[in-house]
Formats: sequence, C-alpha cells, structure tokens
Amino acid sequence: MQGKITILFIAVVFIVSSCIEEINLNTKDSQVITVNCILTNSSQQVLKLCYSKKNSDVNFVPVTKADVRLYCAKNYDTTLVGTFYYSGDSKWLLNYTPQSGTDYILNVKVENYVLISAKTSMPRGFSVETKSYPPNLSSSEYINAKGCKVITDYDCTLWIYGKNKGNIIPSTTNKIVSLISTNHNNLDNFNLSTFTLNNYNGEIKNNGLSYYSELTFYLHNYYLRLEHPQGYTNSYGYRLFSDNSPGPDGNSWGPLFIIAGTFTDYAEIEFMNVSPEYDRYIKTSYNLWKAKKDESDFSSLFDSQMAFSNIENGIGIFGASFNYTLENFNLVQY
Amino acid sequence: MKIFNHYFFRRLITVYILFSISSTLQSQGVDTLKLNTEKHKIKEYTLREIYVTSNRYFSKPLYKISEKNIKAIISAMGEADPIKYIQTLPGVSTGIEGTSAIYVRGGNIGNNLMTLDGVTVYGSSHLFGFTSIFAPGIIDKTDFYVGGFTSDDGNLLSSHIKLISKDGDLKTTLTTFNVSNFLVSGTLSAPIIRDKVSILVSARISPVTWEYNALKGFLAKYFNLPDRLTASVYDFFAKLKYDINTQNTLAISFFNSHDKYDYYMADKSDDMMAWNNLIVSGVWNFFPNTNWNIKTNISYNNFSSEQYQEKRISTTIAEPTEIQIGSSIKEITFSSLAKYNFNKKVKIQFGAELKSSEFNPSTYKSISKILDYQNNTYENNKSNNLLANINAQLEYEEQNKFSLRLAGRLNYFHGENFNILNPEIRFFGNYFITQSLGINATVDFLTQFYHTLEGVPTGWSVDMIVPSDEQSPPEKASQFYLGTFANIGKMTKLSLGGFYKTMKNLVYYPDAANFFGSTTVGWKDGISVGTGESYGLEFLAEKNGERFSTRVAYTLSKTDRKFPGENNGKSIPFKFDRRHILNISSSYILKKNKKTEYGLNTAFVLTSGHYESLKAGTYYGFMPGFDNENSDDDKYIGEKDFFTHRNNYLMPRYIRWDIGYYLNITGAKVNHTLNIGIYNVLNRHNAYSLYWDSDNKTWKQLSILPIMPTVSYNIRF
Repeated sequence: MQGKITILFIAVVFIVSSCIEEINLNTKDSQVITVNCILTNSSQQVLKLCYSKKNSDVNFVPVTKADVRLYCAKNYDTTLVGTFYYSGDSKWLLNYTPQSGTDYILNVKVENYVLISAKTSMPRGFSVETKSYPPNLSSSEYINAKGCKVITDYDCTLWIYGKNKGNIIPSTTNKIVSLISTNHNNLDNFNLSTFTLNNYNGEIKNNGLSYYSELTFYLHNYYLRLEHPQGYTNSYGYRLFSDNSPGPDGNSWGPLFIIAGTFTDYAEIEFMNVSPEYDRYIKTSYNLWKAKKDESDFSSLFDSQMAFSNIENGIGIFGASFNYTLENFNLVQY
Repeated sequence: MKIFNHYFFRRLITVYILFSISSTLQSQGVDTLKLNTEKHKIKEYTLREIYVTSNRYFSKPLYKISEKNIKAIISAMGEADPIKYIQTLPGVSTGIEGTSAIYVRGGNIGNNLMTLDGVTVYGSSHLFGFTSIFAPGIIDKTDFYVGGFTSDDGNLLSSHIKLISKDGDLKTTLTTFNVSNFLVSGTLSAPIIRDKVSILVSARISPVTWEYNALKGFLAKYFNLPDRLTASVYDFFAKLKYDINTQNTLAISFFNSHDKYDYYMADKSDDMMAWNNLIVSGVWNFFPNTNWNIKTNISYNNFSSEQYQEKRISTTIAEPTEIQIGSSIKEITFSSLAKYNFNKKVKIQFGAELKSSEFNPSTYKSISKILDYQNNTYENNKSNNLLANINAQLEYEEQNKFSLRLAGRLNYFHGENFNILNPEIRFFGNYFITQSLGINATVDFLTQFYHTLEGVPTGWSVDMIVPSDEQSPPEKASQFYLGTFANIGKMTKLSLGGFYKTMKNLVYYPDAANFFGSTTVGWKDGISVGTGESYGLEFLAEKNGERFSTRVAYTLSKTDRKFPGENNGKSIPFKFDRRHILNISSSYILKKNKKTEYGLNTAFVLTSGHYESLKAGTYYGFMPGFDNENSDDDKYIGEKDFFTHRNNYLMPRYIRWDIGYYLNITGAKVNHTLNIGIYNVLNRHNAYSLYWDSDNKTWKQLSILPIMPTVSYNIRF
C-alpha cells in the first residue's frame, strides 16, 4: 500500500509539474529593414543596413543595394549632403563631417520596401581638459591622479565610458570598462551596480584626487550618464576637488570631477554629447539587456519591450553624437 | 536580480496543494449555545443586491458577496477569498490564473480600490497575489461596486471592493482554529463587558518554511532546489468595539500583514522580497436619532515593500555589498460622513475627508558589511501629498416605481509642485416597467490621483504606487451603463446591460522587468501616459432552487489602449482584453436531512485568450563601447527583439473546469464539513505566455496551474 501511495504521489507530482512545453506556432514572422547610423564629428560617417531576422533565421543578411541619402535641414530648406556607398559587411559610408547644431534627415530606399526615413540633430561640441597630479606617496588617496573638466557653454547630456587597453604596450585588448564611477553631482542612477568604491575589493584605479571617505561612490555598469551644466564654474558642490591654479585658458581650473573604475594601466575614456534619440536608445537598450541578463528565467512573465527606435517604416536608430576621446588614460605615467 | 526560479516556484505550489488539508476547530462558550447560522441562513443571491418589496425587485449596481458565495469557490490554493468570487462576475477579466489580478470594465489592476472599514488597503495579497491577506473569519460583509458609485467612494477608476469587518460577540465567547496547507490561524470573539465591550482577534501564520524543510530531502531527489528558502508570512487583526450607549459606538482596530520570502542560491546571491501592511483605525458612530447617522473615522496606514540582494560575483569579494530597494506609503486620514433619512423616499449623505500621505517609491541604498554602516540612501523620490474632498449625495425612491441617486465630490490634490481641484459626478437610476421587469442606468465621472506601476499581473504587492504630478496627471474615466433586470418566478433572476468607458492619463511602465534592480530608481523617466477605451455587454442569470442552483455570467467586451510613440499613434489591444468571458457555476444537493447534507459543486470557465507581445524576429543592435560580439555580455546586445507592436498576438482561449464534493454532518455536539475538489479537472495547460527558445529554435508555452486536488476538513464544536 505504501509503495502504491509513493508511486501515486510521484506520478501526480510529475503530472502537475509539466508547465513548459514546446508548441507549433505561426507568428507570421515579418522582416523589416534595420538602419543603425550615429553621426559623429569624424570625417566619415558609418551606417549599418541589413534585414531583420525572422525567428528561424540564423544570420543577418546585409542590404547591398539601396539608395541611402543624407539631407541637411536648415531654415525650412532641405539640402542633399551626400549619398552613402556600400563598403561591405552591412556597412555604408559617407565622407562628410556634420555641423554642430544642424538638423539632418536620412532617407533609405530599398527595393520592394516603403521609403524609410529618420531625423536627428548634431549636438554641439565640447572639449575636455585634464590635469595630472604626481603621486603622493604619503597618502593612499592619490594615485597618479587626473582631474577632468568638461568645457561647454551649454547644458548637455553626457555619456562616458572607458576602454581598457591592457597593462602593456602595445595594447592587446580593447574592452569596455565594466564598472565606473564618478562624483559628478548630476549623475543618472539607472545603471547602478551592487558595488561601491568603498567595498569593492577588486582592483579600482582612481583617476585621482581626494574623495571624501564618508560618502559612498556607487559603481555603475559600463556607463556614466550625466546631465552636465554649462560653463567652468558651475556648482558641482563640495564633493569635488577645486584647483585654483591657472588652467589652460589662464583662469583657475575650478571644480574637477573624478572618474574611477576597473581600469587597466592603459585605458581611454570616451565622452559623448548625444542627441535625444540616441540618448533614449542607449538607455532603453541597456534596460532591455539588463532585464534579459538578470531575469532570463523570469522574463516571459513580463511585458516584452523593444529598444527605442526613430526609424519610420523600419527599425533601428538614427542619432548623433559629438565624441571626445581622452586617450592615454594612463595611470602609470603622469 | 532573480527573485526566484520559476520552475522551483511551480513545484512549490504543487507540493502545497498536494498536502492541502484544512481542519477547523471551533469551540463555543458554555453559557449560551450560539445558533448555527449556516443552518438558518437565508439563501443569498449573487445577483446585484435584491431588496424584496411587494414582490418587486430593486436592483443596485453592486454585488453583495456572502460567505457562502466564497466557500463555494474551488480555489487552486485551497482557500477561497472574495477576489476569487469577484473574478467570476460580469465585466471582470482576470490576469494570471489563480492570482488576485482583476481588470474591471477595461481598467487596470491599480484602478480598483480595496478598503477595510473605509481604510485603503494597498498590499492586498499574500504569496505573490495567490491569496488574500484577510482571514475570512474577520470579514462580515463584502460589497463590490462597479458603477453608480456613492459620494464617499473616491480615488478609483474601476471598482470598489468594500470589506467590513465583524464585531466581536457581545454575549458569547467563540474560538476558531484553522490549519491548512498554507496558513494556520486562530480567531477569538468574546465579550469583555457583556453587552457593552467586545473584542475580536484573529491571527494567521504560515508553516511554509517548516513544510519545505520537511519535504526538502525528498524533493531534492527530483528537483533543483535553492540551498535555503524561508518564508515569513502572517497577518493579525484585532478590533475592540464599545457600545457606549444607544446613540454612540466606538471601535478601534489594528491590522498587520507581513510577507517575506528569502532564498539563497549557493555562490550566487542571497535574495529577499518583503511587503508589509499596518493599519490602525478608530471609528465613532453617532446616532442622534433614528434618522441620523454620523460616522467619523481616523486612521493611520503604512504600506511598504522591500527587496534585498547580497550578490557575490567574484571570489575576490570577501564581504559583498547588500543592496536594498524599498517603497513605502504612509497615510493619516480623517473623514466624517453623515447620513440622514428625511422619510422613506428621500435620503441624503454628505461628508469630508482629509488624507495626508508620504510617498517614497523606490529608494535605493547600499549597506557595507565591512564598514558596517548604511550610506547614501536615495530618497529623491520622496513626496508629501494632500488629498482632500467634500462630498454629498441625494437619493430619492418611489417604492416599486423608480429610484434615483445623484452623488458629487469636489477633490483637492496637493503634491510636489502640482495642485489640482477636480469635481466628480455619479448618477444611478432604476425604473420599474412592470412588477418583474425594470431598467437601470449609471453614469460616473471618476478621478484617480495615485498611479500603480504594474509589474507581473498577479495583483501582488510589489507593484509600485506613485502620486500624480505634472508629468503623470490624475487618471480620469467616464463610464456609462444601461441595462435591464428581470425575475422569472421566484427563483430566477436575470440582468443584461451594456457599458461604455473612456479613460485618460493611464500610466504604463514598460520597464517592469527591471523592478528588481537599480533601474527602478529612475522610474519617472520610463513611464508612458496614454488613453483607453472599453465597451461591452454584461449578462448575469441566476437560479436558486431547493436542490439545484446555478449562475451564468457572460461578458462580451473590447478594450484598447493608445500610447504616444507606439504603433504609429494607432491604438493597441489591452493585454487582458478578453473578448468573451463565460463563467458557469452550479451546485446540486444530493441528499439533505437533519443530520446529513452532501452535494456537488462545479464551475466552468471559458474565456478568450489575453494578448501577448510575440516577437516577429530580431534585428541588429548595438551599445556604444561593445565591439566584441563574442563576449557573454554581448549575448543580448547584438540582437534585439522586434515586435510589430505591443500585444500583437491573441493567446489561445482559456478553459477550465472545476468540480467539488461537500459533506456536512451535524452531530449532537460536533459538526463536520468535508470538501473535496479538483481544480482544472481537464488538466488543460492554459497558456499564460509564449516565448522563443533561441537555443532550441522553438516556441515554448508557459502554463501556470495544471490539475490540482484540494481537500478541506472542518470541525465545529
């Protein structure tokens, strides 16, 4: 009797536990044109054009034949700037340097598809000055410091991330810095990690300057997103180091903010002033990536989402970014 | 931050159901023998409230739910509650099956108001939405309003679930003990001063952790279990009632519910979720004469939820950081409502309410174990708000001919940098065409000042509640209903009506999957504000015979939503827009005499499927700085899901059949009740969601509740 009860129990447990099953489903998969193009302040613009994949497909198929044109919109006039040419591997190129503060329209015509278009605006430029500080052997807080000053005459949304080049030269790696922190006042906390500078026992290379030990600097995943106000002498607040020595323009350096992260000895920092569309795209892409990474077993219970897209009759992103690369973010030399 | 592995979660529910045995022990005081009210209870109709006057029926837009209605429900968790019954009524769509999610006439979960003795209940469920926080033994009345709201109902858009607690017995001591698979409870009702002061106390606690530990060894042979799982679940209610004199009564009540689930996955993380309700309320009822009733209430309400994680990602981290995300609402409310009956025809009521709230949705703090202090609590979402209203209502009734009710409210909301003065009007009317046939109508203009950012549609308590502001102004609805009611003979009642409802300023939070991480701190940037429209027909028929009783509820409706930037400005289907909803329940008494009664219960549910967002494919994506497409981090970056639009796929229809058998034995001193049921007899795997398994290149279906047996055994003496 007991054996039968045990078997019955196991059988019932088995029956009631079967709640994930394969099914045949025709979701009427469709295909759209994917356009990814971020205008930058370089002399050559890159656009990626390919077909989306149906669920059963393996690879993305590039669009090799299309009419891809960039227009400049000024004072209600639209002027053709240039036509992209196909260079291979889904990449289309245009030799052109966008002008800051100018609106751009992208039109893509692919045979058998409706005209695809999108708009963006090229952000204004900025510069980044850095100052190095010699190591202070008597204080563990100074580690080959570099203070950063982002010089703008307008408010902007800045994204910052680092690329690790390794601990030797020549560089053997080029990997995004996974954890990064700052004491900038206007920091977006959407991508907080579970670590802080105080209690992360892995290696943190600080770009320098003292920080107040009673405060906690949260480490962020991959990016820093700042609402950066204009001018030299904005009120960053007491948390920042203020250097009164003359800066590159003769005025005092003023307040500097630090950047700290899991840098290798050789690294570079990328600063981006992005258009609103690109800003939204990066943020929604990060949120989706994070949700899928952390909740992969649970994500089917939530509403599915897409990353932001401003491509009309297609999918992807057409945005713009004024970039500044702080090269040789090298903590070995100063 | 994984809250739990859903495979494990399903198995956990399975184990509880398999061991679902409930026994109730009741003892009665020795000085008097309390009448067994079950024997003498008049059969209660589940149609809209019926007042029998001169063979005419007067229908109001509310459902009065009795204990008998609730007990007849066969619940997956073994314990039925008012919500499970409400889910079978016309105009109500359900979310995830077995849970407390209800969508009334196209509204969202957060558009339903639940109150206990007039105090709003924000976290109304245990176990992630599967069962109610209120012990059935403390609830005296449950009224469910769907339209024609009274003047004192406010801050809602869809329905009001009005719970009224029992008073302690003024003459007899009554003790109840209840042991079930999920909860162990005891209730004491007793006079402190006979005929003057009474007390009612109820406490429930969950033995889940002990059950899990007892079964862990056996289950580990077949399932992948967490290294540790603890659940701390309880609720406590106490009410002191003082009948000062024939004109004055005073009641003070205290309610606390607590849920905490903690699980540990070796070398990965230690996770916890918790939520807590604390309600303290004082009510003074004053009856100057037989025509007047003035009810004054003061209450304190504290609802909080919390998530915690201690994460280990590297062996170099000796002491990991603890991260906490918490949300809370604290309210102090003062209200007074006066009712006056001029005569049999005319009644008025008028009142005022003042509610001071502190909202703190999604704070984030880090606790360092090394340095042993807490740092940088992010409270930038804290806000203080004031919600006040004055309200009045006039009712006129010509007996057996018609009745009218006109109600109005003037609301004032004061938030952070946001103020609004807002009027609301409600109307209800009845007209008798003949003695047994009539028509009724309701018109409601409603405003809701709090938004619920909905996560998983279970009606659970981790949804975030936030106040209105400039970015997300108060939600508004205009609802119209016209219907007819009739009775055929003495036992059969019918109603048929249609509704139309428009909604605006509805809030949608697309990043619900990130509720359990730091992204939720920036929730304000993620919300979307849109509009909704819903219309449909509602049919309800009920027959109550000597042996056979049945109820049929059917809804035919359509609900859409429209959000800026979505679907090129076109509307999309509401996720739980179920075109057809059919609920049939029946009971048959096989035998009934003085000592024994036994019979059968059955329920059949047939609804259209809800809407899901199925991806039509993937498209090439990128994130700045990620160039290496082979790294693990890039797995979800290079390919992004593509949907034609949200809610683009209609799920298969939902079908479920439950059956139950009951046996009542009335002895000289001991009464027994045995209930045996099978939930989902057909073992139909009703799909909740579908997802693409990219590893196996196949679609997979997630079902929540398959066939489940339940057993309940009740002893009273």
